[in-house]
Amino acid sequence: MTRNEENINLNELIIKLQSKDSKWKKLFKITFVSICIYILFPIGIFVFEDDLRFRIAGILATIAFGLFAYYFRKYSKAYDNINYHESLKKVLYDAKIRYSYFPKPARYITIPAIILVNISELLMIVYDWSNIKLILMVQISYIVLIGLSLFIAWIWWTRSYKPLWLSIKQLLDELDEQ
Amino acid sequence: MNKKEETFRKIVRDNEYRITGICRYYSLTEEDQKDMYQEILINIWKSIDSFRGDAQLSTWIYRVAVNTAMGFSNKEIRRQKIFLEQTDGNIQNLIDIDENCAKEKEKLFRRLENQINQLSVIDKIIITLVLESVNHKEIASVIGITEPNVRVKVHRIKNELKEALELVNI
Repeated sequence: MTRNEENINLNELIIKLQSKDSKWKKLFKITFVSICIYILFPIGIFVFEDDLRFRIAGILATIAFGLFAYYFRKYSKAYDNINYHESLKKVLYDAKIRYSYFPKPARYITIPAIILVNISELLMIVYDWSNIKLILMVQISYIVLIGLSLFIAWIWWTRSYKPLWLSIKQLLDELDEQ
Repeated sequence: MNKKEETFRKIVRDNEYRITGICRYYSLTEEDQKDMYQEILINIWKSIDSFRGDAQLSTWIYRVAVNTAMGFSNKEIRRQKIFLEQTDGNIQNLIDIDENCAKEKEKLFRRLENQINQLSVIDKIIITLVLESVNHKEIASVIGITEPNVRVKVHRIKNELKEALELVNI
């Protein structure tokens, strides 16, 4: 690699990187704005409905989607931005969390959001709280739906990320041993 | 030219030999070395905003280079092969080679290269840093383990290589 050749490459590279930076920022903005627009629906229910049940359902759904939006904002970036400047151990540790099945940080945010959506759904569908059959039907269908999503996600994770996750785990063990 | 671009150019200019040094061990052909060099530059660019100066710049560069060599962006961690160059004077950091026996030296190089490639991923990374004459303190900072742990690992790897080479010689 001669110095000149490398200088030309460097110039091209900088231009490419700068455009990539702005492209990513644009994409991120669009997705985030889309989620925010979607949140307007439950907010609408909360503001315009007279029925207290619907208003509570609206506010719960707003909080739930707000949590999803927060999760997206906080963690979607982490998948694309690996902190290459950190020590290898830290990078491996972060990667272990990132590539694990349903990582802990995701659990803390998405599980409350799922529960809130469930309560909000119940409030909107069930008019008569003595109708146990309907409540059970809503609950069972919701649990089946969530269970199925988790199962599909698990199969996808097993096929796509489990080997990587296992080798990261092995490397971390290797780093810890003398 | 904005500040990020200016800093990037300066870092690349001042640390070119460090980056190419690492690339040399992980890529055999000039084309592959160039690809890896470029990949490291991309990751330097991505990380440049987070350089606060709390680590030495050389440590920071080695961290980016080593993490890039691991290839996290792929679905598997790269099982990198290490390539040694016979002209590499730093090989003395690893084993003692008698400069007078040119023929033996060549054979020994190939055997050493072969043995290094049988080491684990972490050991290979440590060895490339030892070959680059990076001190134990800096290796500890790059890898994220303690300095005594690095010392123990380097000692063990050197012994392993020595034993393996002696066995082959028998």
